[in-house]
Amino acid sequence: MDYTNTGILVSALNEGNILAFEYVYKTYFKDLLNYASRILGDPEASKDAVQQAYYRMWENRVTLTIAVSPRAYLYRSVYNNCLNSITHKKTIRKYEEEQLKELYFSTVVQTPEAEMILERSEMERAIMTAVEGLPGKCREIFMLSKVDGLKNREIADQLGISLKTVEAQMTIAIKRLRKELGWLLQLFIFFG
Amino acid sequence: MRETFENIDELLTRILDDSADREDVRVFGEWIRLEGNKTYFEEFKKIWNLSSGIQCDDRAVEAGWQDYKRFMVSSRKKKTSFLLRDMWKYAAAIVILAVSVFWFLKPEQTDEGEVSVAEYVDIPMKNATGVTLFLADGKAVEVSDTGEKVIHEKKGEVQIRQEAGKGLVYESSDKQVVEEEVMNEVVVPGGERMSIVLSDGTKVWLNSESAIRYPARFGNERRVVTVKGNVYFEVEKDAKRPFIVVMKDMVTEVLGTSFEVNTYGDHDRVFMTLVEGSVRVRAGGNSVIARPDERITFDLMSKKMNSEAVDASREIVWKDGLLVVRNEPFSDVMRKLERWFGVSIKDQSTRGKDLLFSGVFERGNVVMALETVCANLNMNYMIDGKQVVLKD
Repeated sequence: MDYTNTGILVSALNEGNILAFEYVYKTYFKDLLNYASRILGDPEASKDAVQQAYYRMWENRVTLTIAVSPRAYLYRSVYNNCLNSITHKKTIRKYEEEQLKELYFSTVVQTPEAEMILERSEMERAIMTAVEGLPGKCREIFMLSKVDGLKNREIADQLGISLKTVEAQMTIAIKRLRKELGWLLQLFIFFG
Repeated sequence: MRETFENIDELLTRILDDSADREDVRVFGEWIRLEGNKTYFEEFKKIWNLSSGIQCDDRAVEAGWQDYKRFMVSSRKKKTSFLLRDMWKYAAAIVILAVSVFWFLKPEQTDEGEVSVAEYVDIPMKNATGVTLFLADGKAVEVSDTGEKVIHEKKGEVQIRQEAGKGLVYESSDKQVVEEEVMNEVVVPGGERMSIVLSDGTKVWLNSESAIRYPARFGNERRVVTVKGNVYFEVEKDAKRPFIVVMKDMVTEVLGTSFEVNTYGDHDRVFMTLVEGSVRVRAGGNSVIARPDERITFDLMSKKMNSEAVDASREIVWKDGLLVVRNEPFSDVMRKLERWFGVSIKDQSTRGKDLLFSGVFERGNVVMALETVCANLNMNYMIDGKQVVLKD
């Protein structure tokens, strides 16, 4: 079965074909989990947001249509699940207190549309190469943050340095990557 | 010491890392309003998103998949996973005859057994927040179909039992002669449903935003109840006492049968759908006798009665906790969801207006329903208590 054809895939999903669901699960799970974790920060909550999206897709399989690809459906579903989680997080209070809740949801949180345009697998190699080119301490801190998913405070504790230092190094890292990977950004601006 | 705009990159790092404090958020809000800064932030954010987030190994994916597979297989076995597709197997009729037959009805002659039409007196919903029973003395009692208790209707000298799964059950009253009927009312607000067994054994199911007024014990000549909203009846046969359902614009008279009435007034229509038996329907000065699987509609604007053939058993699945939507426009679906879940939905989106929507929603929670709708139409929803807002 050629599930890369959306029409065939959606029909199979409508019928509850387990192989189609396996395809959809294994193809998108990692990226969806990665996406959810960037919105929520919490690994458990992220996994939950993704798993719930898949459960709902199964439960509503009869109503899936070709107008919305299964991939888009899942990203949208994960996004909505994350939003519902967020309303309980402390983060949102800060924005609410400053009357900036709209800004948070429209600009800070990664929307599913923006996320789907990021062609991760192709860019990841380019990024990792650029990261390897970072100076020692800077790279170490960056990897702890991005690869191990530690919060700045946790990195500071682990390395025995100040939070300010961590933040400064992270900023340097991002700035350098921006410079190195500027060509990547040009592509995005064109499509985005 | 607070940051000025010179240290903006560090501020943005904190914003994206979620370790920003309130002052950071405030400064961010000011900074991003300036020319060109939004684009700067977007670029910063792109690198951030490309290089971060949980990486997950194949074993974890496989474990997740096994979980998912178990969920799918076990849900197939559960009867409650009642998808529209599956209904075809259970319903006797395979094809819905949605043929509307319009005819103008002549006023019926008075015949023996003609019963004078009772006046409709409205039942106020009284801002009830849960299903409420109002006794003859005006006392309000919160009731439901889970949990058991006994309620004394003093004036009517009757015991009312609340039973799990059955709702309110009135003890039957064959022995005593009822001198004067004592009236009770049950009000069902949005998001709720309730069932009642009346003193003659008639079973009643009330959908959201509905109400019924009925005697705690029926008299000897006829059984008259007043309803509004969407109510389904299974009437105990009693040839000596016709059962009469009074609605605002329609009266339905039965001998013993199952049917539902709907006075929501959506699209300015009220209707009665007959499942079994035979009923006489009066509205707008006309009267007609309906047959099983027939729906009699009264148009409140044109004041005309129509009859159409339907698969009645499919129409009444709400009494089993399922809301079925069949090829209906978006706004109709939203209105139905509002009623079924007792929420208010504000639609600020631009999508989905000309699509027809079909689906099955269980009694469960509104989040699941909103998810289905929004994921399919590429929309967002925000929910805060009983307020829902839809956006692009």
